[in-house]
Amino acid sequence: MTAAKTYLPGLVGKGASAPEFVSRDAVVGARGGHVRRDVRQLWVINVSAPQEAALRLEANGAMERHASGDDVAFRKLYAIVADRLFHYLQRRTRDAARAEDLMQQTLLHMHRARGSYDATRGVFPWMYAIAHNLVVDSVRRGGREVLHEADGGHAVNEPLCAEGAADEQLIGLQLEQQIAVVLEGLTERQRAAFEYVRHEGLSYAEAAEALGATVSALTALLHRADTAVMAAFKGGED
Amino acid sequence: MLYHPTDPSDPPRPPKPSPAERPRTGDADFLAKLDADPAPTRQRIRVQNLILFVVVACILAEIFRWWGGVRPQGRPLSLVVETAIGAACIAAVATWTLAGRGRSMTGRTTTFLGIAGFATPLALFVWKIFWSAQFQGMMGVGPMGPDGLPRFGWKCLRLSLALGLFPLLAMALVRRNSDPNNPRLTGATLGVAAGACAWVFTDLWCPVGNVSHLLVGHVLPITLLAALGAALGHLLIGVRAPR
Repeated sequence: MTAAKTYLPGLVGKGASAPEFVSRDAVVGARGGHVRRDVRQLWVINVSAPQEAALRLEANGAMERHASGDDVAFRKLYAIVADRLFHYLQRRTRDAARAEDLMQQTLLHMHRARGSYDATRGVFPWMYAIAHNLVVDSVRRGGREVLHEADGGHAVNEPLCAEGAADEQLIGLQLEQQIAVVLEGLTERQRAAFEYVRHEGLSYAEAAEALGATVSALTALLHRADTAVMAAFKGGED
Repeated sequence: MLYHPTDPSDPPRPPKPSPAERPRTGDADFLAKLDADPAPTRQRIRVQNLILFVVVACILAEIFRWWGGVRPQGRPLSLVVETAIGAACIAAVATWTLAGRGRSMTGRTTTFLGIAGFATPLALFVWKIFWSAQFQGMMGVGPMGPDGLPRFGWKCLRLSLALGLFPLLAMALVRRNSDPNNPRLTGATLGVAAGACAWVFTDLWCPVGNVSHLLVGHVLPITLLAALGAALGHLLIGVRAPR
């Protein structure tokens, strides 16, 4: 865990200033450290900024066509967002089956609400807001987060960055678990702010929209979450 | 776990897909289910909303006509017109800001809704008091009841509730399943917007500008509609997982 201890606080401090969209290759090349790659993958969305922007435009366009009555366009939207959404939900629930169920509920809701979609508004904040709400609702209804081996071969204790050598994966897994423990201690909104910006790579404006808050409120929530994470890791070093 | 060293001469293994990249079992079934679930398109929603708006407007006009319509009852015409125009403008702005979603698919922010929700009845109240104070005797207690006591405003309360109920239901239907963040607050502000619309009609009907009467007969129904709206918001407007 030496690498994690020395690396993560600096990363959080850097990430707190602005959301980052960095290609993985660029990060790995710049850092030159094979161990840090997996750590980085936990924090930075794994596509470059132009790719991300194009992806969002494509998603917005597909939803717009779907709202106008093009049923096939939803398949395109599904192809764009399903993996990302599943990934997010799996991290929140730690249960692949439940994540898949919630993903389908989220997309079903988006499909049913297509008539109210406005092309000038982004799909991603909307999608994350719905997904977050469904997770919270699901937990409140008794589906407390259960850490167990999920069915279908989706092992819970498997790091989300599954490439690389075993030591990289191990460090990634341990980091992820440590972060998850810290996030458990945060309020729901702080956790959501952290997830949206640090894990999902939403901009501050998008994350604020997804939370139904102002950008300044989002910044405050994120700052508290970052501080908690940094404090936990600094405490681990002592 | 045993450690198995890898021979460098071995062919490279394909990278193990992350859990998120693995094929999910239900994708095809889910998409087939969506195909069989015809959701209303934007065009259809617009038509539905237009029909709803016309129906609610007709209901409001009929209730107002049945209740007695415009009653100056000694008020100067200019007072009636000025208070009505001002209240109509405030109600229009309130409906536009509180019933709409703004520049977001998830609705307006909590701060905005909170401020606008409080500011609307306050603005209506201040506007009414301000113009009533400009005219001699327009802030009196009004006509006495059969028991010789001043009327508290129960009739205005009933009229406001009757007029506000239908716009509130209509707005809640239009906004159903649309707010994942603050459904109760959104519902409450819809109640305020509906109450503001009702205020315009009640103001045309009621000649009394007394403060206690206005608080009971005109402001209290907005509060009650906001409470009802909050309940409707929880039931209708929020995004909830199916049981």
